[in-house]
Amino acid sequence: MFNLEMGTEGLRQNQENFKSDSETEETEETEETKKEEEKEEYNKFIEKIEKAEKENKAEQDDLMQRLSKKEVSAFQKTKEKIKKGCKIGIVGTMIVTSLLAAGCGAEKSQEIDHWSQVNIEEARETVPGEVIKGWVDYGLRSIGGWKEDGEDSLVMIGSGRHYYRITQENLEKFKHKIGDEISQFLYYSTVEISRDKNVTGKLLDARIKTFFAKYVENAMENDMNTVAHGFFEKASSNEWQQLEDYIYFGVEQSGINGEEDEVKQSPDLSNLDPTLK
Amino acid sequence: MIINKKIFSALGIKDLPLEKQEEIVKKLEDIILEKLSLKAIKKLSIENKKNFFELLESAKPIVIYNFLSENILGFEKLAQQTAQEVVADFKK
Repeated sequence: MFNLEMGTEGLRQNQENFKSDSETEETEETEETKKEEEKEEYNKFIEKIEKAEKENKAEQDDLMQRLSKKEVSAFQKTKEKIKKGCKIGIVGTMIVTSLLAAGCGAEKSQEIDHWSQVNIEEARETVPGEVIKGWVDYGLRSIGGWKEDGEDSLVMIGSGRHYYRITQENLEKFKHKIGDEISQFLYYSTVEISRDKNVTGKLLDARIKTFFAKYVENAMENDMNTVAHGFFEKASSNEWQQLEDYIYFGVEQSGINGEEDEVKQSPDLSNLDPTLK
Repeated sequence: MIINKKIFSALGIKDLPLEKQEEIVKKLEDIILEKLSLKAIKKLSIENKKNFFELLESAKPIVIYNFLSENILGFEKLAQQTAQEVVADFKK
């Protein structure tokens, strides 16, 4: 009986061991299959990228044939810099579009009425109506914040080495201040440039973009891989990303439905990263 | 990055390991910027093209951006379209 029990126990143990070995093998096999699938997926994506790179290369060759030797050489030497310039354009535009959609500067001086109305209308066309309201808040947050040291000053050009935090308490004040700031900028630009509204409209459009592009430049120069990382993502990540999706990548409405509410309501700012000071 | 992490799933790459996702997105971003650079240069008038190549060597990226923005009508729209095109091609 004793022996039999031992035998049964031994058999059970063997079965357990066998089962365990077989489970390990199965897990290993599953992991291997998963890795294979991942590799296949990855290769598929890389193929697409290589195809796009080839197309770019063909376009570049085509362009180079139309340029002089000197121009080709200048292009080759500064290609990365040109791309960086384009990047400033893309990110800067996101900020400006959000501000325009928020109506910044629109209710101030008559002198800038032409500029602001035209551009706000244009900006609004690119934004789905239901998110406009949310943009008023996060568009403003996107460009910076309020100094915590008690000084009533805004984040300005040239202060890119400092980081700021917006809180629920100072948000309204901040909105008001930034609105004034933009209006003033537009007003003085109008005076400086011309009274001709057609010319002024065009020039101001370019100048206001430059104004905000400087934020972008500061962030890039301060060793931040992305501007969003420095100024925006930490402060209001969901909203910022939503903005990017809408403007640049046309993510289908259905893909982001779940997050729409986050855009419409003010985000919880209580968990802001303390490094944003 | 001009492509954010949320779009990873829309691109169909969310099942890949994170470092692979980031690698792909970085490459995509590079493609977008390269394509935009080429398109922008093509859009410049003969005279502006000449000026553009003259300022390139000494100019900072912000100056390059300003030049393109001031001399190409709808540069920002072009940027948007380019990004969308590249992403759409990738999603096919």
